[in-house]
Parts: sequence; structure tokens; C-alpha cells
Amino acid sequence: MHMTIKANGDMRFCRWAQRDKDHTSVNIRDVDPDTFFREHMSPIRQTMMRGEKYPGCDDCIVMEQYGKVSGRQKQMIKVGIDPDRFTQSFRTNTHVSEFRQSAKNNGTTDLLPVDWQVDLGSLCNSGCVFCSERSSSRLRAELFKLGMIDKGRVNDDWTGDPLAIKKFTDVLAKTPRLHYIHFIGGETLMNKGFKIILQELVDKGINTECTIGFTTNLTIWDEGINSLLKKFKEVQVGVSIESLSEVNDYLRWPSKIAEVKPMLERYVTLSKDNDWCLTVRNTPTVFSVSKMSSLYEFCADNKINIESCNFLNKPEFMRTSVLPASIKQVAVKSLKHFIEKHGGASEDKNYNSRDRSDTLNVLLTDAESWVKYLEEAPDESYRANDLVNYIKKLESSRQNNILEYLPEYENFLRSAGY
Amino acid sequence: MKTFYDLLDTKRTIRYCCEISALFETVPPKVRLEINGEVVHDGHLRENKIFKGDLDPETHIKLRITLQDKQYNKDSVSAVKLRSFVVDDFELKDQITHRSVYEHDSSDEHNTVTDHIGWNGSWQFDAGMPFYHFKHKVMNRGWLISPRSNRKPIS
Repeated sequence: MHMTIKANGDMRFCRWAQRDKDHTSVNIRDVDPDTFFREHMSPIRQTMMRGEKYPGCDDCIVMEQYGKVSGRQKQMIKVGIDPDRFTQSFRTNTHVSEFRQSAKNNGTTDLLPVDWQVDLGSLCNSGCVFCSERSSSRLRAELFKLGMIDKGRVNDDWTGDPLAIKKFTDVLAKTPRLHYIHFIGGETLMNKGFKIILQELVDKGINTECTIGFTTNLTIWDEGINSLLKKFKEVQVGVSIESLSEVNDYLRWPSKIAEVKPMLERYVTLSKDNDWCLTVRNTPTVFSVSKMSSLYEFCADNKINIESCNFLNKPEFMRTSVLPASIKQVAVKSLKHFIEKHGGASEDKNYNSRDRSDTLNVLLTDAESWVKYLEEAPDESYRANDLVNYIKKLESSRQNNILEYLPEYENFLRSAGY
Repeated sequence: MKTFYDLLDTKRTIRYCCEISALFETVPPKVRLEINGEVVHDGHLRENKIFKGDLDPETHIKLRITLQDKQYNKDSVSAVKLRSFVVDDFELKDQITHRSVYEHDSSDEHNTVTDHIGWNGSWQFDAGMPFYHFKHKVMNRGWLISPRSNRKPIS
């Protein structure tokens, strides 16, 4: 049902799959997406059918371990599998006949994906400290200049290739019940492929049946794209922001929170006016987790759901588990204050993180998972030196200083060589 | 169960627990209770009663309570009340009450949502879908994507 295309055109079986453990990936320039989905993914289906854990699925397993709603669970509910009652509900899932058919045919299927995550490319005007050179052209150029990576100006965005775009939209056009496509960048709104694909979907008449999602870093407003989006059945807007305080400037460099906030308000208004679903998509890290409760409060006040990213896989040194106990405790206290103030999450976990009728519960569930992770995840403070080495290099290029934003981190960072 | 192959090949059932209570002064209500088409009680009900059993999760979930032979002049209070209907540890009562249909012999309009069956007639709920789909719906779990097409591919 689901598949993804990464910025360089590599196709993967799942948007949450770990890159270094996924050995089935091939590039859209070499293989058609339908062939990848129907045939190349069959060994993965067979592995799962045998009840074996697929190596690239570790991120979701970790999320579930700490009570965070995982991508795996989000996909399960889309076919009617109850994550709390897996074995009982499996036989009534909407795709059970297709499971049987696939099981009889060595994991192949005649279906096409109806739920896509599409990374358009790496063109980006931001160099977020937790991002990678694969996802941000700006960060890539900077890291190259600093001598931290080999290649500085490689542009292998698949959407720069008209034939690859045609392959993609051709598959969408022949998909009987296309449901959802979520686009990210780089920065989605900077990538010319976004507009081209949206226009193509409108021209082919798919817009009336398909929901479009996209994530933006709140630095760009494009009336042309907004007009195109209004032609779709449903739109889900993801806005990336880490904090409403100035630490966001450090994390999502070089954006300025003074400009990001008004842009956020514009998107909130646009979404309300068009009945679009707006969610905050943050990436909690060592530098933002202690500021997260104010973001939850903002979302609770404005009835905005949060879909925070997974517990960071890479870079490892940005994980919140790198923090010393003293800072973790501050973060936990602040998150618990938010949770207790609102009465705690419901016992019935809401796996639909975009449920707008249950925003507070979604926020509380997410906050509770971060508390659990901060309290129980294995200590990774040994990575603090790597963290300091990395930010020192970035700061030498950016002329900024983390302690201007987080003075309370001084002891922690100094002890790691800052 | 260890594998999907096992799950595909093994029929499972889910537990239900339904509680109804009798309300009366002199004449206990005569009640027929059917769960997914199976009659689990048929006769006078004198007290609270709990019925437990198993359901096939692939069938559409249905509950029907019938009040019979009430003589209004002998005991106007006589009635049956649905207290609880739990399927697979999930309390459904509040979710099914306002989706129920009550057909009775009263000449008055009594169309309000109720779990109180005090007129001769039949109160019933039919989810029209398997239990887990209904649970998905009432828990607002979002899209339920079916592979069955309602759009022709664009050639």
C-alpha cells in the first residue's frame, strides 16, 4: 500500500525504513515504481509473512517501546488493523484478500501503492543542525566548505529529471484508488518538481480523489501553489518548527523565529479557511527537548496536532539520550507539568495523530512518550564530545553560539569540550 | 500465532460480555436477546444478567433486544435496560445506543436515543461492518483504505 522515493530517487519500501539497513532500494531512474512495488518489494513481504523482523524496521520498534505512535502503527490503522489487537483484527483488515494473494505468489502483488511519501530533492534554503547533507543542499555546501564531507555541489535530485517525473506521474495515473501523497524536500516549496507534479495531477483529474500532504519550513509562501492545492480533495500541511523561542534560529538556521511565527500564523489561517489539516512536524533533539512543552501549549491553545519525528536515528549525537541527567530532569519536569495540567492522555491510545477532534489527547500521548524516552532510554552521554565537535565546526561558519540561546547548557557543553 | 501465514489460516473468535437488567414492580419483563443472530436469552428476566460468549470477528456486529407480551395496565414499569456491551474489552454501549433503531407499539413518538426498552417491540443495533471496522470508525482512526477501486485508471 505504501512506498517512498528519497531525494536522490532511491525508492524504498517505507518512509521510516533505515537507509543503511534497506538492501532492496533501487533508483527511479533505473526501475519503474510499479515494478519496484510489485516485484522488488516481494522479499520484504515474504520476510514479514514468515513473522521475521525486517532489519530496516528498527526505528518503529523503538518508538513503540516508549509508547510513541510509530509509522508502522499509523499504516496498520489505515487498513483496519487494531495495533492493540493485532492477531484478532488481522483477518478483517481491508487488504486481507491481497495478503492471501501475495502469500501465494511469493510476495508479489498486482496492487499499486496508494499511500506515498515523496522526497522531492535536497534543494533547501535551511541548514538545520540536525539535518544531513542528503536532505539539504545548503547544509551540504556548508559541510563541504568546512571539509567535513567530500562532495559539495552534487545535485542528484530525481525531480530534476523530466523522465523520472513522468514515470512517477504515470504510475499515479494508473493507480485505481490513489489515496495520499505526502511531499517533502529539501524545502518542498523551493522544488520546481512540486508544482509540476501538482499540475500534472490536476490535469489528469486525480486531484478530486487524492489527498495531498506537504511539509514546509515556514520560510516560503507561494500563492501559485496554494491555488493549485485548493483544487485537491483534501490537503494536509506539515509545518516544521522546533520551538517558538529563539533557539529555533539556531536549530533551523538561518531562519528567524521573528519571521517564522508570522508565517506560521498565515498557514494556520490558510488551513482554517480551506479546512485543511495543519500539523506541527518537529524534530526533537538534544537542544529542543527542554523547550518542547511551550510548543505543546501553543498547539493545545490553537488546536493543532503535533507529529513529532521519531526518536532521532541520525545524527546519533543529537539524540536527547545524549543529555546529562540534570537537563533531562528539567525537560521531564516541564513535559510532566504540561501533561498534568491537561489531565494526562486517555487510556485508549489515539493512533490517528491527525485526529483533529482529539488534538489534546494526541499531544499528551506524544509528550508522554518523550517523558518515557528521557527517563528510560539508554544513556548516550558518551556522544557529547561528537556533539560539541560538530556544533563547533558549524558555529565557526555561522558565527553563532549555542550558549547565547541555551545558557543553561554551559556546564554540559563545557565538560564535553565546548 | 507466529506468522502472517498462520494468521491467514486460523479462525479466531473475540469475546463479548453483554449485561442487561430487568426493571419491574410486579411483572418481570419477557425479553429476547440476540447477539449476532444467536438467541442468548428468551423468557422472563427477573434480575441483572450477564451473557458471555464468542463472536466471529468477520461477521457484522448486531445486537437485538425484544420486549414481548407487556401488559401496560398490569405493570407499566416493566422494562429491560441495556447496561453494557463489551466486545474484546471495548465498551460499545455508548457508541451503539445512538445508532440503534427502536420499533415499538406505542402510538406516541418515542424516537429519542435510549437504552431503556419499555414498550413492546424491538430495539436493535446493526454496525453493518465487522467489529474492528466499527471500532476504527468510533475511535476516529481516520482513513480505512480499501483496495477496491471506484476510479478507473487513466489510460
